[in-house]
Amino acid sequence: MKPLIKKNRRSGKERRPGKDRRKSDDSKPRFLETDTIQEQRPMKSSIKLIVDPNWDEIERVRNESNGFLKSYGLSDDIVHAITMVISELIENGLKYGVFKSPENRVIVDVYIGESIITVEVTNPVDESTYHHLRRLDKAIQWIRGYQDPFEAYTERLKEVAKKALHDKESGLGLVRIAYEGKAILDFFVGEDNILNVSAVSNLEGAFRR
Amino acid sequence: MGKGETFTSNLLTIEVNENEASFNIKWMGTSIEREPTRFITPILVDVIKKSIDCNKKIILDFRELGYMNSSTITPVIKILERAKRGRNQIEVLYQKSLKWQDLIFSALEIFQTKDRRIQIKGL
Repeated sequence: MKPLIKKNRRSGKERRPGKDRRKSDDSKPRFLETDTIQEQRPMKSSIKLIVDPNWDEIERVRNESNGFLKSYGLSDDIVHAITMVISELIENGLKYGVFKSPENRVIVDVYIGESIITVEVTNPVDESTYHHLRRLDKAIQWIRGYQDPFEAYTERLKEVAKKALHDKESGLGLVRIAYEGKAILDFFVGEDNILNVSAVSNLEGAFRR
Repeated sequence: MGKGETFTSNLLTIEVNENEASFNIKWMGTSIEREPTRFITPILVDVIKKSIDCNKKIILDFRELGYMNSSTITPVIKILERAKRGRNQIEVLYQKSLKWQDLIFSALEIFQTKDRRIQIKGL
């Protein structure tokens, strides 16, 4: 079967504004001012979290990312929404990733820019997960087909509600990210068989006043 | 005097309290289980059966829930869909001031019935 490898459509610098702003010395807290609000926020604008392939790790990562987002001065609503995005993407990474050696883990990168926040979650995959990648591709294309993610979300709710009570499949995670997280989803598989799923959310009005 | 039972799985606690008019199911904590259906569905199915037998309303109160993953939404909407086609009365309560609850639970209005047997209420 032919590997499903996609090129990253993103422009790295535009999607990772936080990375551009990062300085070499992270030991002292620094603050920045923006035009939108006249208050000081910590300078650290990105975080990398390593997740062992263990479901219990999710709560730890949720707590760590929550702390990071709060420290940046984001509002409670945005912190909750982005933590949800991180959480749902890690769940997918753990469910569909291939963890054959100790160095195989899920990696979460969060970058906060001036107007967007990017969550990237990577995990190893192999031939056994290509059917999942096709479903992922299909799901993302399907969500993009809706102008309003709320419509996609309610449509999916109706479909899932009719399934058997004990059916384990939810299929709500990605559409929830688009709706509740107001995020644009994308993915690609690198030639090293690492799946990278990203969610980019707008930060308009996201800061605590 | 009402009867009550408490169920806990990892970080999620579900309290079921029965009084003269209703079964109150209070959700508390965080639900991030891989397969929450295993824990939640038997509780909900049992209450659904009892509520039909006693002709009592079911109140699903999510106001004290801190977070639930998308797999937790699944058993809830399946129960609402079945109740919609049946005879049960279900009221879903959520905290409107919490944006995530407002977004998630207001979307469940698609399961509301015209005869108000299924109601979704943001308080």
